[in-house]
Amino acid sequence: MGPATVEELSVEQMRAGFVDWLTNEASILREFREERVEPIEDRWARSARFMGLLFDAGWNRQGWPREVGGVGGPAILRNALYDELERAGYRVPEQYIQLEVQGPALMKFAPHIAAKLMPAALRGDEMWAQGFSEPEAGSDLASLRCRAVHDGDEYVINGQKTWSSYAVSARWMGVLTRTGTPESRHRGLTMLEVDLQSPGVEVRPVALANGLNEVAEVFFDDVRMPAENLIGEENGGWAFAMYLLQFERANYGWMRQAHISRRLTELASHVTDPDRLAASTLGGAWLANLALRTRSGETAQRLFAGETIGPEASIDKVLLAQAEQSMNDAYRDLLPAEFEFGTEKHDEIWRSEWYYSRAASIYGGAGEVQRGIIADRLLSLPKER
Amino acid sequence: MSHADMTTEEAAALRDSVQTSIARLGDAEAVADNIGALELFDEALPSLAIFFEEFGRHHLVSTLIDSLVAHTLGFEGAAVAYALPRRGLADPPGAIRGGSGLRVDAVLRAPGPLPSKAVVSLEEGATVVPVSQLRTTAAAGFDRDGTWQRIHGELPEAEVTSIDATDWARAVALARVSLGSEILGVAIEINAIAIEHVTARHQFGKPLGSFQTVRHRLAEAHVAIQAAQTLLNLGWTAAATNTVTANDVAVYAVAAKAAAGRAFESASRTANQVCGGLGLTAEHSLPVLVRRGSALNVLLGDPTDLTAAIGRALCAAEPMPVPDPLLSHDDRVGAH
Repeated sequence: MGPATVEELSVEQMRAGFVDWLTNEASILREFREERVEPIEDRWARSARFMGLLFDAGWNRQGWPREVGGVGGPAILRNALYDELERAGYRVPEQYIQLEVQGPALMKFAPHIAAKLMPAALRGDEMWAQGFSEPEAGSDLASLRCRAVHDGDEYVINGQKTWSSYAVSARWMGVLTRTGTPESRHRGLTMLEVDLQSPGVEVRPVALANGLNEVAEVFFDDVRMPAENLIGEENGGWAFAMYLLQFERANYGWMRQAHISRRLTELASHVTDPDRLAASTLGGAWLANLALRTRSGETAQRLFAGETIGPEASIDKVLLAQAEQSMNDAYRDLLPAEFEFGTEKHDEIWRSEWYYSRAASIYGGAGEVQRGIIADRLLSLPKER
Repeated sequence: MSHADMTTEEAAALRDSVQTSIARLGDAEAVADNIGALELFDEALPSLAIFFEEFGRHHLVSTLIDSLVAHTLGFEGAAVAYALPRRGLADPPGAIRGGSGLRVDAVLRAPGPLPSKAVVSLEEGATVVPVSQLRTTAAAGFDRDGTWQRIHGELPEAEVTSIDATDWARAVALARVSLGSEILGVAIEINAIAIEHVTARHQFGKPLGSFQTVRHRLAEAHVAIQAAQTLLNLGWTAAATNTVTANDVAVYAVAAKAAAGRAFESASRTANQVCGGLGLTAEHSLPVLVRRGSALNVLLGDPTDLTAAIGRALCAAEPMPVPDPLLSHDDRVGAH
């Protein structure tokens, strides 16, 4: 049975109804509760099937507008979905990360593209990636060089992106390109929606230290995109990126806290009679995640109410990294034999997640960038330069 | 009215009147009287956070925590005598039963005359003791201006009034969020002093605050302060919401005080570094705050023992509160 679509659900109704559905369908959904040591492409393929079931039952359409394939209702219902998934033992499909990060920005800056692409993404049929970083433009994003030239009713793209999460399996990529002069910095950037199946696109997986192809390099060689794939305005890409980063720095934290909470419970179940230090390590990780949960939930509410979060989102991002890393460090500290030498499947999953958690203070603006933003814009300290 | 029902404007207005009152009266007890803080105990409990934060910022000693705890327990006029901190214990006993009666060793704050009675924790629950029948020694230790008095000695059982463990647990939770808010105020002021210093002070031809190490440390202290603020809001709201279980109120309070203590540790460590030698001088505004925060941080559990208590509860699979910040206002701390 799917959720009511006639009347709007409250957060409590959404939680209760969805938990009932998960319970009733538990046997069909078993494969999605399993943590497997597998290529990440396979994990995403399983997630995609899971999303299809959630779409058919209507649950993952809650909180998305009808124009983009949803059934309407307050956006915050989506956060309830992610929370209950993890609480019931399901890893939140990673596809949702890009939907949550790029979706609201696309709906604001390019509603026609959102309407065209989001239904397939919600069904799990198509994955999205994001093309921001380049080999020479990491923390200094405004120095990026991947070039787009307006040619008739098309844009022609040449250049390279890197560290693109999900690009290995993605169909669509929001690409931040340079349309202005090389010196134009953030004023000469343009956002384009690129079909990664286009001629001239080459995606090369980058295996991370955990062996998974979580990210990729993407090369563009005279790739032609219709001008209607322009997101926002030409040379207005920075506004899109900054709007999007609020969600990447803040609302994304909500999805992660749900996961961290599940993993922390699992970790605690392996520890008996901890000494003061071990107990404090574990309790400290719980505390960090409580701060992340509360803060990111409040931030999500503010974002969905149309508020601009601005530099305060950097606090959420620092809290995210602290929660991710303290939980994974706690596992390593408290169960060193399993972590270092264990041969069970779940040992490898913990090791893999530990490495993934190192990225939490790098992606979406490195920890140093966040601290710089906090120093400049929240504390009004003297500038570094 | 609860804190959540208090609008941002109302909270700002209350903070404004507390600050104005502090500037005019310069004395916490007079400020609390002037604004009627005691009337807020039942009406607007979480708004007390504003008093405690401001008292912390201005390093003013008050008996507002004592009044709140005494009111909660129904022993008006009693002070809180905190057990001396003991490494490894978040809830050390301030009095131990043995032989013919009770052996008391605890500290209380007495900005005015000594209280006639005090509440002191036992290994289980707590008790009210007559202060006049105990030895009292000024305990101007690290927090020299904290008006600390140590009460110690033995009392016959007949002189002691027992407090139910459940009532005491709630009183401890309230004392923890109160101390937490006071500690947070101390941390906020310390970070503000450090920021002011590194902005004004120049070396190598530029302000200290333009060096990345300095900036990042201050930013980290700010993040810790913001996290503590979030958890203190939860703690106060939980304490004021009667649908929240006693266990959840207690855990939220433990979390809030631990986070405030961590924020203080971060802010004070940073400020003592970036303010350089000046921050270590007797006339500087930092030491009184560092001393105050340090003492408050170890009462009713330091951050390590508080987080250890949480960690042990997790390992024992005890029920833990799960706030729902997707809901509005005080619903978010309710049963979920």
